[in-house]
Amino acid sequence: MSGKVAISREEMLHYARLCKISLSEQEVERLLKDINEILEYFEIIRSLKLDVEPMTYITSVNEALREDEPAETLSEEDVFRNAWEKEEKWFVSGQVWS
Amino acid sequence: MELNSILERAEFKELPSDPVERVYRALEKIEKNRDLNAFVTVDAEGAIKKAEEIKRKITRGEKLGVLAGLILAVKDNISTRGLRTTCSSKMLENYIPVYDATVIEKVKAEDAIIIGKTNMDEFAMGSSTETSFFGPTRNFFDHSRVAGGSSGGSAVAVACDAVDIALGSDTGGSIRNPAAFNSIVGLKPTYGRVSRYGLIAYASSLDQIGPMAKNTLLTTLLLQVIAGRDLRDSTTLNKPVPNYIEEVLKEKDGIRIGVIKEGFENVDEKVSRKVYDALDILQKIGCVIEEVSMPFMKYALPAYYIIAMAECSSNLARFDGIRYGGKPVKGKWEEQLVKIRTECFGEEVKRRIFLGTFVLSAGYKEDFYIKACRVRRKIHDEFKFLLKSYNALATPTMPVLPWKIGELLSPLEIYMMDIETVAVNLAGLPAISIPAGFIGSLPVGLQLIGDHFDEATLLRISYAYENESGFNKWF
Repeated sequence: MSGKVAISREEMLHYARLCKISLSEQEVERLLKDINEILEYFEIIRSLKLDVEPMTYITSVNEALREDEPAETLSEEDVFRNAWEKEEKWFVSGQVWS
Repeated sequence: MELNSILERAEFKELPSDPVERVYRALEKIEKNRDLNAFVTVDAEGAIKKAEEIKRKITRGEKLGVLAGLILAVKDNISTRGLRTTCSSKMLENYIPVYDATVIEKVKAEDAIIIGKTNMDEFAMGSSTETSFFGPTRNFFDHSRVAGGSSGGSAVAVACDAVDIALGSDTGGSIRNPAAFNSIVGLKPTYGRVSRYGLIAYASSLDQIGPMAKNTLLTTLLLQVIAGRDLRDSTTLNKPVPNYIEEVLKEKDGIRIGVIKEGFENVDEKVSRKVYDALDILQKIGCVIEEVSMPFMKYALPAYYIIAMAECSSNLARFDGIRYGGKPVKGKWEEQLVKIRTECFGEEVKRRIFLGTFVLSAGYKEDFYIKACRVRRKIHDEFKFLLKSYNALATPTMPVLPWKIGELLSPLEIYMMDIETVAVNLAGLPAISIPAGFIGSLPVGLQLIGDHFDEATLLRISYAYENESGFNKWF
């Protein structure tokens, strides 16, 4: 583990791109301050040395599987009910590849 | 046991003989308390229709559900078919679910009357209902103060008597915190006891739906209805659901309660004293009270926030505004996505998505996320060790009294308010907040934590304490 973690302005913009959120100048300043304060608080976790296995879920997956039986699902009308735009049986979005 | 005798025991003032009349009275209460901002959406039409259906059943002598005629408020992150469900976010301002959450199917089948959807922190990310897109919910006992959160609207709807029972959700304390701040009972069930199908996800390994009410028996009754295995939620477990009402009425003698020493550090002294007074009452009625230690509790808060933020950054990636939510935006797909997410998520949600993305990113994942998951195991193991010797563990629910709306300014200051509650979610345990009294006009809550799938013991202690302290008559 190296020294304390703090996010720079450039990193901040990089992560914002990953999150698909854009930030105004003002927001960058404010978030940078809040986030570095929070990361400083997280240091107590980072500096811990623990030899136990990480726990990501409480319940075991042993009971997760069920029989694959056909059942009623959503109607076409319901599927598109909350979409802003549809064409026949498709959701409409902006162009993906430029 | 019949509903009427349960309600009589719960000292319910008026039995639901005319459900339609009760709905009109509830609507009046909601209107009278509009300034508390407990509701995002009120479904007067749906509630009256349901009440009329129950009335017809009564006239025809048909079998009634166990919640027949009880008025229910539902937190606005639980999907209700045909009834707007916003998560108190601009992102879902106009979202109408096309299916019911499993808990909603269950309460409808038992003839509960859903009167509306309650205000919350945006996407349940907050501890005071201040991050709601629709403005904060106000504390029932002091309107200038926060209701707690994130299920603040559900707690206030119960406290102001608009509803008999309410559903909330609890990821890091979101049921227990507002229950404590409004002097009601709130139970976070064991992870896997209640289906999360239809609950709009915040942090999937921590989220759990639970009941809230003014007294123990109504809380118990609602748990009875919503508990159980659901094939649509693979994390629910195939364990039989006990008859909770019978369990609650059993003898209480010899119950052993461990008081977690670390749970009283960094707590307002007046709050601590009130909680110790409540523990004295439990001792008086036959519980054995002993002090215990949980050295890892101090790591629970940062570990919780790292894990919750990591999970939320993944869960909230689905909001692209194309299939549902957001707003119409022209342009290329990526431009649409960025514009919608930038304009429709609030500041706290963005902060958590951002930090979650960071702690999962290459180079930092091992130091933050994986380490937090190791802490999670340590906390789980410490709890399990203590719960071998004790039936329940006790702490204050909240470290302070309800604060003034807008008083806590930095996000970290607000995160600190969750120090008592988050460890429970990391370990997947059940926990309850019960009213412990008032300091001036402001309520204090006692938190009791039980072993996995042992909600019954928590409710039994709560019921015994309620009879001794009379907390259901404090309003």
